[in-house]
Amino acid sequence: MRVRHLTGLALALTLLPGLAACGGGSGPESEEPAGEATSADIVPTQEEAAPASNVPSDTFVQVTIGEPETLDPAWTYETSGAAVESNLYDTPLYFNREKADDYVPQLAESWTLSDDQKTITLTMRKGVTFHAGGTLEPSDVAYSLHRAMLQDRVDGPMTLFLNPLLGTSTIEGYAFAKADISTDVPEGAEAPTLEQVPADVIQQVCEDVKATVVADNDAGTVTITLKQPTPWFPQLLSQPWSAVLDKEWMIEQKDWDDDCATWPQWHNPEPQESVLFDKANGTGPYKLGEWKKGQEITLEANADYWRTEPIWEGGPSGPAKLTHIVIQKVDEWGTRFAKLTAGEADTIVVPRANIDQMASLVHTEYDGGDEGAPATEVNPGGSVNLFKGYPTVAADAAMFHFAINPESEFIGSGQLDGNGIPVDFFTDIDVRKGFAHCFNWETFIQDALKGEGVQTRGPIIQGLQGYSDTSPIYEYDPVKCEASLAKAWGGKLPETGFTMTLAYNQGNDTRKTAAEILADELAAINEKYKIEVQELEWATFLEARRAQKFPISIAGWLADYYDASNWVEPFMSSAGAYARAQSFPADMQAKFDEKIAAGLAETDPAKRDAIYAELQQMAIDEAIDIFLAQSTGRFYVSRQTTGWYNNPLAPGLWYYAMSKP
Amino acid sequence: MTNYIIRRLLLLPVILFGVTLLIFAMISFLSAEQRAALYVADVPKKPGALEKIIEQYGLNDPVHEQYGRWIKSMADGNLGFSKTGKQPVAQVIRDRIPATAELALWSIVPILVVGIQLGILSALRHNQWSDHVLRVASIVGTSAPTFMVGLLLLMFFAAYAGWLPTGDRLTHEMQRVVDAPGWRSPTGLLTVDGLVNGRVDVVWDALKHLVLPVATLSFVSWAVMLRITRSSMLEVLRQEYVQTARAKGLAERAVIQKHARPNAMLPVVTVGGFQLISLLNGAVVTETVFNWPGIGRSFVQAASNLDIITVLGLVLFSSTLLIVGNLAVDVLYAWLDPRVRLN
Repeated sequence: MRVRHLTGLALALTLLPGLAACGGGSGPESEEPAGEATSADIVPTQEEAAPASNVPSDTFVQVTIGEPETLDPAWTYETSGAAVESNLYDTPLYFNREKADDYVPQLAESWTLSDDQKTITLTMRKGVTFHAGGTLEPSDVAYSLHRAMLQDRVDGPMTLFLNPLLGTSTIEGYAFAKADISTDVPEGAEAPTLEQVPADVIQQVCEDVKATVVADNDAGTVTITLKQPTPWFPQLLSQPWSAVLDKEWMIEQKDWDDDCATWPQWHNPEPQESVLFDKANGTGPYKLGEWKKGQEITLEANADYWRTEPIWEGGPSGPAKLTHIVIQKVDEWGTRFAKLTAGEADTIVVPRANIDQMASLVHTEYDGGDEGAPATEVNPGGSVNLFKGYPTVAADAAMFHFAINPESEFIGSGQLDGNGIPVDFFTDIDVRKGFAHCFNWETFIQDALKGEGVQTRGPIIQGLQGYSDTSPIYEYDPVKCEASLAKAWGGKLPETGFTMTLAYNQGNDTRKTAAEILADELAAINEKYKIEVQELEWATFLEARRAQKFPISIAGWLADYYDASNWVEPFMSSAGAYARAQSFPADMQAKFDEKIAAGLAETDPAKRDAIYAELQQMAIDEAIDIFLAQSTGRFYVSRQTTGWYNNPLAPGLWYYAMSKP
Repeated sequence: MTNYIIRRLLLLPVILFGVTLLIFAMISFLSAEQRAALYVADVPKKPGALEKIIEQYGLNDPVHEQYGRWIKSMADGNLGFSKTGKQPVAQVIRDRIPATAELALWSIVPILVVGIQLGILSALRHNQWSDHVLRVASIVGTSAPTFMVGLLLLMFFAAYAGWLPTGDRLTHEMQRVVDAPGWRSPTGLLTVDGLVNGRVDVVWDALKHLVLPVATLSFVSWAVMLRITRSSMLEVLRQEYVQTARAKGLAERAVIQKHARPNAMLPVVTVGGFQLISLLNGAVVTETVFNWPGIGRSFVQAASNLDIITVLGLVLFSSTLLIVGNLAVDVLYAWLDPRVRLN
């Protein structure tokens, strides 16, 4: 029991001004800033045991921000939900520990890829049972993928599967094309709907989907047929979107009945409409305990977990060592910090801006993504270990919305009268360029990321095709900012000014800082340029963005697979998780889509590199977003915890690999 | 007394009617899609789904018909669907009220005991050094921001000293006991349910978790009670009947306890009653700092996320509580002071 009143007073006082909000994450749609703290793997030194923790050794307490929108793995395309699902469900394959491009069999005991790289055959494991008692069969795998692709909710993850399997971005688009229904409707006219698609086409669409993933229960195999070679497809089979559901159980719960005539009833549901909204029945190492909305999610170890051999050399096997998992939602940084200091939490989300406060708690610093990294003991009395400096595949951006929903509560009067902005405010490129020149990256990287980041040069991050250290970027330049904005909207802006609200997800101080920097710089140019900054709870933020209510949204992207296509798709494609809601003008969107399709079809590495470099340039030329920064990883965890490692594509902690002595 | 209570009870529905009218007027300003949340969890993203809901629930009907339907829906326990709570608003209130009630009931005890006792002491030592100290302390107490007090207590007693938990209602081990099948929860108050289930360890754990939030709420509220009690007591002590009692030769102790204090308590009852009602409506900051899963946190979450249906549901709950609480305070006041009921 350490009583450190003076330090405590100093720390408490420094916490006061920042009580209102903080943040952290990444993932498909990432609630935490890129590279923010996540988890770790530490062994207490022999000579000194770790300080006493108030968390029992069979329990792991993670204190985080935000909570899932749903626990349906086919619906989820954000990290809070995907992180939970990755512990509840198994997938056919899994990442070989920290390697993002190497796999180990999971529910598939083996897998093969044909010579033409278009057919993947999974041989499924026998004797695996679901949490509710059902037995895993190959048809469960096929049903799960069929259901997911036909469900295909707007801005969801299924475009990742539909593209390589059917050559389409959305199942609706595929149905309309088959039914010869034009989606190019005049402005003001209603978009086509599935109800207009004839029944025989509805049936055919489903049969086409079923033909891409075929189960043979007798042979124990699942055969997946790709339209074109897709090197990253095994990565998709290792992520929660490939979670295997129990077909019979799902039908009992009144989900899709596997009938090709009925799938539109389950297509594009709201989160609460799915039977898996707050229920789960997977084969994973954990069962869902309870989801107390707005408070916490608990997971309980699956005592009957099927795995008897280590997943990789030295890896876990048998039931999970940590039998109770508590994932608490605590938005206040001060409360999260107190919990970690008091030993009531094993890990917390630490906004980069608060890392100085964490220094006194750190026992050992690991300069890398697991316990094998070079380590330095910094404070013998510290209660947590820090892993830092490991690479991430995540980045944040502030995205301009070109056609804002007129019902939006974030655009004030909806007019260019100084009290709001019109819904098409950002269609003027001078506005976008002006905003980009008004963002001070140096301040952002120093203040919000404590210097541990670099400015991103477009949607494509370092290390991928299309990325170049010398490609043009926007630089902070108040003079150019002022000049651009003076030109915008026929030169009216300096006189009228504007008012809008910029939202970020609650608890995420990094994004809050980005929003405040932009607001302050614009106000410094002209006091009539007003941006109000507002926090929104994660699920509310995502819903408002899908509804196209934001003028600008700040969010992060964690790669689904390691390829440039997974960066241009969300940020630039008409079906992209971010770009769709931004509503780029038709001609701009057509140019993006054409180039994205060319990149997907191209197999020559040099040509691919050129295509993605061109896309990177187009994103900058059109100033579709303010591309913020890519940072390295930083993760704090209690000294008692061992087994953490960083896999850059993982949406969150995989508790199965972790334990406490 | 009976007539007085009947008169007040007859007024109750009138006031409630006024409150519901105000809330319904606010709801009427919402878009049809937002108003749909009064009846359905989500508007399906199917073409024509919104129109179907508008027709089914008569969201474009004349206002008085919509009001009648809304009242009937509320009478059935439906306050709409909470986007932030991801469940019906009524369920959010049901889930959260026990935590808030437990915190409020435990907090009101020190607020009343400490505030009243110190108020009497301050009045009796009028203009002596102890009076001055207490007056300064009460000013500090009323002006100290709750979040600052809460955070300082949290950092000192929980994070660094480790004497008390940092927040929540129970430790995770005890929470598992409470969540396990077979746990009886007649009140939702863990300190009571723990006794009902014969689990003293749960009661002890719950009490430890209550200490810091109760101390925070008490610290900022006892000063109000002190000031009210002090001024009321000073006023009573100047009354002629107190002078008469002293002139009759009654011992000072008897004068204070039999004549002054009971009469000085009348305004204290009113303020104390409102303090309790206010606490039952949720201690927004305290619940946030101590991660307390009560009504106050729901209010903050809903308001900061523009979840208007939830906010209005909680406002209706708070208003009803205030009206009923106000009635209870008035009745108690009338029972204590015959002048009120006779007038």
